[in-house]
Amino acid sequence: MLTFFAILLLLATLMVFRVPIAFAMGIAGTAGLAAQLGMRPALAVLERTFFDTSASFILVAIPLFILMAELLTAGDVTRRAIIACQRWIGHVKGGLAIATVAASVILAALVGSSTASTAAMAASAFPEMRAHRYSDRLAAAVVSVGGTLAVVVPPSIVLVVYGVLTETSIGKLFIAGIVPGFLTAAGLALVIKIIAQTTDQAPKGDPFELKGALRQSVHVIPMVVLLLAVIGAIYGGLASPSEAAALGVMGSLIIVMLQRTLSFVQFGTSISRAIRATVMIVAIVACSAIFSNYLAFTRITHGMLEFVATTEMPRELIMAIIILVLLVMGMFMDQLAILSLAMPLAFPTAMAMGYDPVWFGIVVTKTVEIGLLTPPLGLNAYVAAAQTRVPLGTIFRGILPFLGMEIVVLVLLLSFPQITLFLPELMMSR
Amino acid sequence: MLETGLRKLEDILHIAGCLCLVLVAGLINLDILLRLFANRPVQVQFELTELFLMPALACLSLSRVFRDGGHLALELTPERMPGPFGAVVARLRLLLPALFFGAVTVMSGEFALDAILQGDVEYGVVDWPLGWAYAVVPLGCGVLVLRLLHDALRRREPADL
Amino acid sequence: AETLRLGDFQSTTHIVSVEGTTKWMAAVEEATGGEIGFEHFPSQQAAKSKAQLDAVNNGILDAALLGTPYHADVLPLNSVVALPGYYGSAAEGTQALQTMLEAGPLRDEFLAAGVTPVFGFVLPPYQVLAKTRLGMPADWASQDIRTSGSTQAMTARSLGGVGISIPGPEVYTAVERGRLDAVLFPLASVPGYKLNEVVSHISTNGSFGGYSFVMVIRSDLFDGLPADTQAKLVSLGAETAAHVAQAQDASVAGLIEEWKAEGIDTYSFSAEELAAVTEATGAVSTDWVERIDNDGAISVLETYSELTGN
Ligand code: NA
Ligand code: NA
Repeated sequence: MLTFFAILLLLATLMVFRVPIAFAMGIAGTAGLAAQLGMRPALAVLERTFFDTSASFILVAIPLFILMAELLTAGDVTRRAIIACQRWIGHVKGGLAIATVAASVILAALVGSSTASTAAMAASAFPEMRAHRYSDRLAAAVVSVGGTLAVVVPPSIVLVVYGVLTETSIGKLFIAGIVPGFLTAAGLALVIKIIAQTTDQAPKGDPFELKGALRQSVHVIPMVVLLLAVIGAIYGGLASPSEAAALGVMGSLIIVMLQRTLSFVQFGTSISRAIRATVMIVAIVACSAIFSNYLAFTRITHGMLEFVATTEMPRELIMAIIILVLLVMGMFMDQLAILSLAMPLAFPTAMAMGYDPVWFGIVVTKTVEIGLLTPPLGLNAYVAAAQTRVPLGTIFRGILPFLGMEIVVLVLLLSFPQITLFLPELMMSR
Repeated sequence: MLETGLRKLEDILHIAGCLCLVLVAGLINLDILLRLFANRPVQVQFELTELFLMPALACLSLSRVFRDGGHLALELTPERMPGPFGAVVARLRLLLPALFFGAVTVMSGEFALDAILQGDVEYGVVDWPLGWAYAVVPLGCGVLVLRLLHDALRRREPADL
Repeated sequence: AETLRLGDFQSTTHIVSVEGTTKWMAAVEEATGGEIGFEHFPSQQAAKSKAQLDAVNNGILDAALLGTPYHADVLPLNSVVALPGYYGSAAEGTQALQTMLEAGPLRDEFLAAGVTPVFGFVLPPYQVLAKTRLGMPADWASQDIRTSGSTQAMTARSLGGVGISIPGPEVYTAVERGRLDAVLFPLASVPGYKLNEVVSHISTNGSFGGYSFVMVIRSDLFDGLPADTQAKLVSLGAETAAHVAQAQDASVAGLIEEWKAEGIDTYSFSAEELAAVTEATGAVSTDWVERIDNDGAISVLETYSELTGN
């Protein structure tokens, strides 16, 4: 136990003194493994962690979706489309940020990974908000929080993994994610509206003018065609999400070539930036795997959840504790690592207390998704920071009011299971 | 001199990583199109992407991304702290990661070398030489170690100390 | 008393863990009076699927349940189990595997890798799940079939289909949306991926290859144990292997009844269809022997063929 706190202290110290987050987790994880297992096994963990983490076809979606967004942005497609949205609702205070939320929902229906969605929005929607004198703090936060919609709105890699780990119907999970996804989006819009009314972080845009709005909307067409093609490829059965991402890259390339808005240099820069974000994300995932590995060997998570499972407290209290544990884990770890560590104990516990497996899946997904927004490891904020160059501290401060909203939505989902369950029950009972 | 050579090396690996991404996008699209119009997939696409291209595009640019300040860090303390304490922190910030990635380089390097010498193959559409797939990890991490050591040990301008 | 760190890539809710790994660990702890205990790391917590064998070798773990297909680079002969057309039930395949793990080339491969096999068992043979009834090879022409690994891809190709690699979690949506026409899958794992929600036809008596699990302990550790403890580990392992095989066969029979009630066409190949399919997939075994390029391959295949009555 003493060693465990020493390792946590080491991790915190490294991060405070600006050692990159990935490196800090790798160092602390290796030190922990050495204390726990001995030097030789600890070093042996390093043999193949980076390879095993990166050699994954599912991960391909990350560089490809980032590249698609980079191409559309460099080729001026996203900006024109967002300006069109802005022409319609930008005259309202906070309208541009709300348009970003709407775009996040559409993107969420294409993307199963939160970081990929955040990266796309950070590359396209953020510069528009900045250009219209939105505060960096609000704009980067909206992009980070909007990105989390991707794992609740189907398709979602997290929901699929939950379904596989717990043998819960993935079909039902997907349908169940829709209403909580829209609820979150509505909550987001509400917080933006409040911030816009009470502060000057989200100023009014240009006054509304029908002719200009219609004319500008022409530029939305290629974007919509592309989104429909990518959605069509997935739902029409032509491609898996990773493959659809590749189609999206090709589609974006065709659009910007037809528009003649992309130079060869910009093409190279887009690829370079996509690689950059991918390297950063994979390094964090690989090093957090080393740290998760250390946590597994300490048996700390195991012991904590076992205690919860054997005590005689009321079930609501136990559920609250499970959620809290998941939230704390979310501060340090990757979503999929949390699922694989916690579900073997938390799922049977929840089932033993009589909770619905689909409902629990959505609640757990919502909970680990909040972890993407909290320091020290808040992957969405990191991705947004990498793309926008807004300091992390500023982003985390901007996220704070949205975090409050996320907690309110989570409490609503916990208190009223019907919010989650009525849609799958409606569709499955036919 | 040293700096120039290191930069060259980082840039070459970065370009290689970029080409891998172009190849991934191209191969997947070709696979989809051939499946659609000729009813035959590009059989090597999945294994080539998973075993070779993804690890390469994720690892080769590690050092270049570090050089550009692309690895994210918390920004709770000032970048340069005053006095001898600040100087020690500034060095340790680079030397500890150098030690860690040095260990990763040695361990993954031995692992790759063993696989190459033993001729380990993954039986797939073709017999994939696993050792060469593993080799991108020590390559990318090794150059990062050079970068970290170089930045840590280079003589500072008086103003920095 | 010795506590072994045991790695496992399966979750504790999977039938292989409930009726196999977990049962064996409990039986060993009881039979040895606590002399041998376990710290269990399921769901790839300690090491990824492909890294389990290395983890045992390096002392990160002491024991592990290996999925042999993940280690075909080091254990090529053990991939014989993946060939189509041999065992017809988990019980039959497990008996054959246990015999071959007692002595011979399959055992030697593990020993050469620094670990000792304690027991092994197989999944029930892979079946085909599809949106149409696949019988004679003509039905398989140009079908997009999800396969895992090169042997299965060859199997699909030998029947005229197209083998496609898709990550496990993406299979459900790929079938639902028509990206795949069919899937080669072990029936016991179908509920885990809910594939019964998206297919209409499931074969029940095919043999489209298999999958073996082998429990291993690091050899220097195993060799240092007292002889009677070793014997207990092995004999309890044999019991567990037989048990988990029967439990899987029974579970599959139950699943088939459930699916029938759901309106899915659970069908048997006719003798004529079975003969034609076996004839077509025979090429996969020939190719396997050539590809492994190891003197042992022919004799391993002969023994395996004999033990499974083919
Ligand atoms: Na989504
Ligand atoms: Na977090």
